[in-house]
Amino acid sequence: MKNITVNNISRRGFLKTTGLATGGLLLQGCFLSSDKKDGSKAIPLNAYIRITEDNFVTLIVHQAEMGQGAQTTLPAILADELGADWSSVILENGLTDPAFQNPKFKFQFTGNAESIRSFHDILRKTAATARELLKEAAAEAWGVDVGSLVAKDSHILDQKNGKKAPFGDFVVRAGTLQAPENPKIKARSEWTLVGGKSLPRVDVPDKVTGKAIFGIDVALEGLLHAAVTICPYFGGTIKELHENDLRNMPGFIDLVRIPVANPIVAYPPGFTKQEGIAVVAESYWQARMALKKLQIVYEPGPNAALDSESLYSLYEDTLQGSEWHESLKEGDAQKTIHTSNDRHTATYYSAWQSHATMEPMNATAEFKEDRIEIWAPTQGQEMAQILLSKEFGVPQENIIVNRTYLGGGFGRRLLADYIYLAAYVSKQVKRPVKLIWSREEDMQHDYYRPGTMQSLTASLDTKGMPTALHAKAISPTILQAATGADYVFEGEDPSFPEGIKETPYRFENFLLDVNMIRLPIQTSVWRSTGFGPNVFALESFIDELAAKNGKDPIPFRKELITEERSASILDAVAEASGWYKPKKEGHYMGVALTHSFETFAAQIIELSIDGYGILDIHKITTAVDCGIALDPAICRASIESGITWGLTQALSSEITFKNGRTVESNFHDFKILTPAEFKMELETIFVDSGAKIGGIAESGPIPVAPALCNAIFAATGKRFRTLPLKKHGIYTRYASNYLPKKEKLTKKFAAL
Amino acid sequence: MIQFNLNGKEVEVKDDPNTPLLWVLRDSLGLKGTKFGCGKALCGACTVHLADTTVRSCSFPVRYAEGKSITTIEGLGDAERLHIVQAAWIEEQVPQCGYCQPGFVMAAVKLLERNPDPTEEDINNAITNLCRCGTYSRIKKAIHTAARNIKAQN
Repeated sequence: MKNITVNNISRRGFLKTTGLATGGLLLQGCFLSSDKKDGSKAIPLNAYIRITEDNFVTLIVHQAEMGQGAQTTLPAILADELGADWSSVILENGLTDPAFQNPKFKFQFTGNAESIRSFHDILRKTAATARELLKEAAAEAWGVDVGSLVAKDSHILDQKNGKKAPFGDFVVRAGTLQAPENPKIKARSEWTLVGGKSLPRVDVPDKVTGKAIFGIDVALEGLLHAAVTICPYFGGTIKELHENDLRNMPGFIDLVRIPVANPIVAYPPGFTKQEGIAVVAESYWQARMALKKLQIVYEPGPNAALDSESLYSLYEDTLQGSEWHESLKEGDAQKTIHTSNDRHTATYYSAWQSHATMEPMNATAEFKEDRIEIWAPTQGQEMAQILLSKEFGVPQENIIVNRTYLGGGFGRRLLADYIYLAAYVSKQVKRPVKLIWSREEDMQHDYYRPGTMQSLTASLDTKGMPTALHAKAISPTILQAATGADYVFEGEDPSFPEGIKETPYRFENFLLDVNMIRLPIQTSVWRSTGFGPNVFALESFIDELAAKNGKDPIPFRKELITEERSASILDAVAEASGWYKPKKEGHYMGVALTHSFETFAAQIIELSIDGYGILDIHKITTAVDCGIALDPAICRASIESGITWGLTQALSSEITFKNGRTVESNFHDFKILTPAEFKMELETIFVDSGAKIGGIAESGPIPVAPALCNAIFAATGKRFRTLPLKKHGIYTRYASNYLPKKEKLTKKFAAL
Repeated sequence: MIQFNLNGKEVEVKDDPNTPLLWVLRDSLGLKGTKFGCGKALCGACTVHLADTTVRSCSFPVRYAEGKSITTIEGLGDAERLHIVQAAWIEEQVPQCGYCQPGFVMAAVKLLERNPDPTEEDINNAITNLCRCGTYSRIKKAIHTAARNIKAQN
């Protein structure tokens, strides 16, 4: 393996940081290969692949690396199909390009577990095209038939005579040839870099030596720093502003009032715009200290009475109301239920959640008259272009959005509000500015995963099998912030019925009614978005139906499912967890099944719970069929990551509201799982069905809450239908040691 | 003027003495490996070594560093000379988004210096940093791997 010196992220060479990458892979930000010191020109064969005459192969990573492994697996697919030598490729973060747009959404973004499932085939075809061009050029140069040529280790090899030459020898000629329309794509049996073995992640060495550049680490010449505060009241305004001796504070540069600090691409009726104030200084800490001098008196505005209790009542009242949008109807569920003698109804609620990425929102901007350059940890480079273009009237092509590493994304960084703030301030002070949110700002001005309520009613036949399901779901919009469409007007947000509109089960009679309530709180996508809460409701409910007639939840599900893939992962997870075997004393299991992002997952949680509600989770077994697990280690890490995410929201994290604003402000009251709480055994099995590749990053969290609550039911006979479980006094053993005195542990489960 | 030893070299900074060490390291001294996560010593992303102990530098005024020895992730090791804990982190492929990892590595190094063969319980008691990606199971594996490698070295 070679070690190569690189400019870690550098487009114009003015980022200060340089670093060394190990493993022979160069990681570059937006380094233009034509700037390379050796002077050899990189020939683009397409938007993803450039090769220099001295055989440097550059692969463009067009999706954000936010922990999910995109920076490793995406270029590995390209290298695999191209026949490039993986150990010497150069990786470069892409800017915006029509070729990088998601084929389904016609828009460039990273999220929705799209990176692999939407781009695998595109990348293969792209790389195959480049490979065929290189072979064609070699055939011409050598005067041989292209049929005997193969591409391997960044060389073209003539199998007939053993002649071999680097790609670079043919790249100039290849660049002039007509690209083949339907190049032959390698069969799975020919894949060498993906589809079975796990590659060392390319980002890992820099991430353990502190060299990896996240948005917050961007350094430019003459950079100023900004701290920001946004009105904390939903719909509130700034009444009085007292500067005190702010302007005398060390390093102070400017105070910038930002009329709309939470902009989105289009404002629906009732959108709550929030005013913000940024203080700019020579250093970030100076900006923070100066901001502290500022005394702001807010007018709380029309939503001053909003709190979590009144909000929950609104959901309950809405459920009792009659205003529903019919989302899906098959057969006649209402009639079947009305005429049935055996019915069951249950109502579920999943709480509001913050993304709480470990790297708080931040962005760096340089605003120059008709040109804006951005450096940001973003999932939405094109979103940033669209928003900034609209807000500042700068043409989209004059807005360059450089993407750094993301210290977590989870959907939050799809939006560009935080990028806009940096650009706005840079425009005012006419210098490059890095604007960093405090954790408190980040948590109180998140675009939250909204609280959602689901009410399910089923009728059962004499054998205890469901004959009809009537589901009602209540949620504010989820996609409005990202798309600008007014889904309340349209009746249905495409994101929020996910997981309940299309289920793994067949109900002869099915009715889904939705009600999109309009709230003054900003909401958006959040890892496992619609699926998480809806699958919690559905999979808990299926378990309730099984229990009602004393049926084993797994065979009960198998009777209801419609295709083989769900059945085979249920069998796999049952086998691996010992579902049908005698359990250890005091151990109980719960199961959940999901079909999401084109991936099937089944999970079994084994736990013990004592009479006080103290929980010990022993093992979480997950069986996943994502078609093909391209990189098994990355896929496994992704599922395990999802389990932590799912457990956190099921057990402890919650955003609440009081007096018209968010209560939680940092990790002391927005509780995410700690290392000590994550001590269960994990077993993750990939069932290779060879089917179309599904998403992996969002599938892990989804089954966790229902499997957990179903296991608690198995242990205690009690159903918990509202999350997080801390509301019911259920805590991990570790968390129970740190409860405030007022939350004295009380006996909850008499039978245990 | 505040002087301290940073990664083996004497440094001198002019920051306000109450400035958190984190921001002095990041902005005045240009070492960006130490991360800002919460500003309240809750998450540990900013963990550095101060002599024999760890401190959460976001809540540690730089004046208390006067005359002391500070080690950051950059001083621990680099790609050519990885610290044994960093090497274990690579072996176990711990990071995902990676933002919190320098803090975890720094905390793990101190744990292993005090306790070269920690039990699961010891790790749970000593490592209280937060990771939103959920890399905890691999962090624990990597600490055990590092402990094994330390033992093999001695």
